[in-house]
Amino acid sequence: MDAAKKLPKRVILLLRARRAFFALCALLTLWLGLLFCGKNFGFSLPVYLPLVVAFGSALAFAWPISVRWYRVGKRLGLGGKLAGLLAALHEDNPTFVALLFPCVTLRAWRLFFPEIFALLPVFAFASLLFLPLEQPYPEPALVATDVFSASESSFSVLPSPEGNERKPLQAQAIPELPSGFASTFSPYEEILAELLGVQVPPEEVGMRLAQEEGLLRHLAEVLGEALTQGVNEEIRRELAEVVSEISRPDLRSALSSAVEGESDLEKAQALVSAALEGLERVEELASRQDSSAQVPEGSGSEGFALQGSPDSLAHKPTEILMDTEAEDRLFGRLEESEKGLGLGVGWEKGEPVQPGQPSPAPKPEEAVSVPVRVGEGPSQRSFALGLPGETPGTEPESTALPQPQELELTLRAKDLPPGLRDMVRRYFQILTEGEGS
Amino acid sequence: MITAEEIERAQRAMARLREAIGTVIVGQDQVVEVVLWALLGRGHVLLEGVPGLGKTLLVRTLAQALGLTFSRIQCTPDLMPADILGTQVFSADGFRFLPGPVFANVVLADEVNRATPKTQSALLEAMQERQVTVGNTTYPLPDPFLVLATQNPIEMEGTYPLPEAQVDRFLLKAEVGYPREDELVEIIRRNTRGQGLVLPEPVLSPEEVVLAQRAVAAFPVHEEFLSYAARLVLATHPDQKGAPEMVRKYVLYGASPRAGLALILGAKARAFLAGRFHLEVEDIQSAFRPAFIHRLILNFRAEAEGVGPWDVLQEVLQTVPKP
Repeated sequence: MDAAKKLPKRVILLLRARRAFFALCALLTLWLGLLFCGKNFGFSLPVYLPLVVAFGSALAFAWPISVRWYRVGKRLGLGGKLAGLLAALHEDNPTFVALLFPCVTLRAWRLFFPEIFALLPVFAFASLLFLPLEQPYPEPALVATDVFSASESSFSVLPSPEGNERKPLQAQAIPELPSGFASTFSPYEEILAELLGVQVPPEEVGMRLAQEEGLLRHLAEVLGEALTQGVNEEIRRELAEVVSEISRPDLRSALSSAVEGESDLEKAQALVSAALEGLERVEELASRQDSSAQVPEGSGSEGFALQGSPDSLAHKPTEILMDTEAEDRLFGRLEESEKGLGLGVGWEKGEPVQPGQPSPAPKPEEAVSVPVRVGEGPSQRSFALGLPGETPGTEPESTALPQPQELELTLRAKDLPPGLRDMVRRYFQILTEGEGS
Repeated sequence: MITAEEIERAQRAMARLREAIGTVIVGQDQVVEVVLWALLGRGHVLLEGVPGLGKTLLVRTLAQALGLTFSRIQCTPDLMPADILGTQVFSADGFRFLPGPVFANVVLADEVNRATPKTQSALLEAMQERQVTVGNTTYPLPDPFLVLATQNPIEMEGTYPLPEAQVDRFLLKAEVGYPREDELVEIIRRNTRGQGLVLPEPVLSPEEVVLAQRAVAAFPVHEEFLSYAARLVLATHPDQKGAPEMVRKYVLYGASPRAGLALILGAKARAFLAGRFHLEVEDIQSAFRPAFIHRLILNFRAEAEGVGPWDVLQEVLQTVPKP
């Protein structure tokens, strides 16, 4: 009789567990769906989502349950025996309890079938959607370096001060990028934006940069506080919030892995410092770009003028900007052979050419030497790598494109997702077609 | 308190009874079943069917197999209550009560609708009260007490149809249908050998019948089944919210609360006869027709459109959610 009295409680416990299990499955499915959408539409999930899943399951377990005993008995393969036993217990009828109790064997697994079979295809489908995105993306910083190397080794040329000869840059002459000097946005997004013809206004870029800088500075403060005073709950929460708001995906993931578990806060601080340094350079360059945009085209300038339109920085964030030291290393070899000619590059002052108008008749170029010594004086130089855009003052033939074989080899050498590889290939294909026409 | 051994003994006894009835009655399984449900539920049965279908034979066989006393009352318009209940006669010792045919364990009231309402009322009151009062003395009827009343549905001339209130006193109603061809062949074969009718020997005692009745009474019924029975009863009432369309259209008066009692008792008896100790939904659904069919009063529209009680009850059964 006592054992029989415990039976309803066991059944209720099983039913609660069943409800919690299915709630967990539903929440996990939702989570997978959100994760999938986040990957595709570029939003990140809140860090407390696992807590929501756990809390939802616990709530489903603890919520009051209304049991329809006859149906439960049928689900357990007992028919009306369970309801009969409960009625006998309720009526305090020991004869029928003794007759029915030996026939009531709980087979808990029956509570989960056949619904569990319906869950399997859902999860399988979700996994199929999700798995291709699980391919590890290369770190954006590395990608930037790759783009640099690939483009430089295959098609970037430096105009020669003498005549129209082009002198390809040697791959070994390319310096490594300083740490933290990465693209502000994901290169994949930018390439996609290029392909789709989406242009980001310069004001928005500036706003994003300012926002990112503010976040990074705040993060640096919080990290400094954490390193000095130790990590408490408030700092931990603030760290997680600030890190989740950082827009650079590579930096965000690196920082979140560094601050997670407070294991590597110093590394996080170093990452933030490097990123801030990079942002400062970008801003500095942008301001210089603004000032150079006011100078009429064709006026002599030191070093390389930025190719492209004045807001090309905003339009082409993939262009990799180098600092002065890198340039020094890069052009050191040239200086040795062409000393006294500055960087050996210059342009004659000419008439500005408006877009859409035919280019003026070519004049024989003359070498212009500017008496400059590298590293001295107020002069500032910059160098932009990447694909040169079409500018009003230059002919399209100044753009050198990689050979298809080289492009293919480079693309295959990189661990790029297949879709992205196709996009890059198509990008160069479009450029090549434009070149041919 | 009945014990598990007694319950199992009663179940075995009822199995023997069914077997014994099967040796005499060919077919009519549903009718036999309903009669046994009424016996176990301590109720009475209204048997409806055309003459010659073996209604009387069934009752006689049942009484014989049960080892119970049996009496038959052929109802006619001139039958008086005293002819059924008994009367006081004067003898040398003074007045003494001479019991009527109702003082038997199994009573067959043949063609009950031919008796006058006064006589019907006396019989039905005895059925309900299980006692007879004559003069100043009350005489209890024997236990078990089972009345099986028959009526002919097609012959209305010179009859007094039972009022609804009287019909309601019958726990169940069994509709005796025509036998199938193979059953008919067997009936003809058995009754044309010239050996006469051979009734079975008693296979269980009156005590075992009472034991079986006690077991059925003690049968536990879960609240969900009781609720289901109540929903079924209420669904036959046209003024109830959520009543099926046919009920609202064709029913004049719905089933009484006795229908719910009959339903649960019939279901319990069915489960007991099946050798189970618990109810299933099928038990209730099987007992639904015999418990409800004589308790539903349809309106003229139903009669005009040829809609019968079972047509309405089928929709009720389909509409009301199961436990």
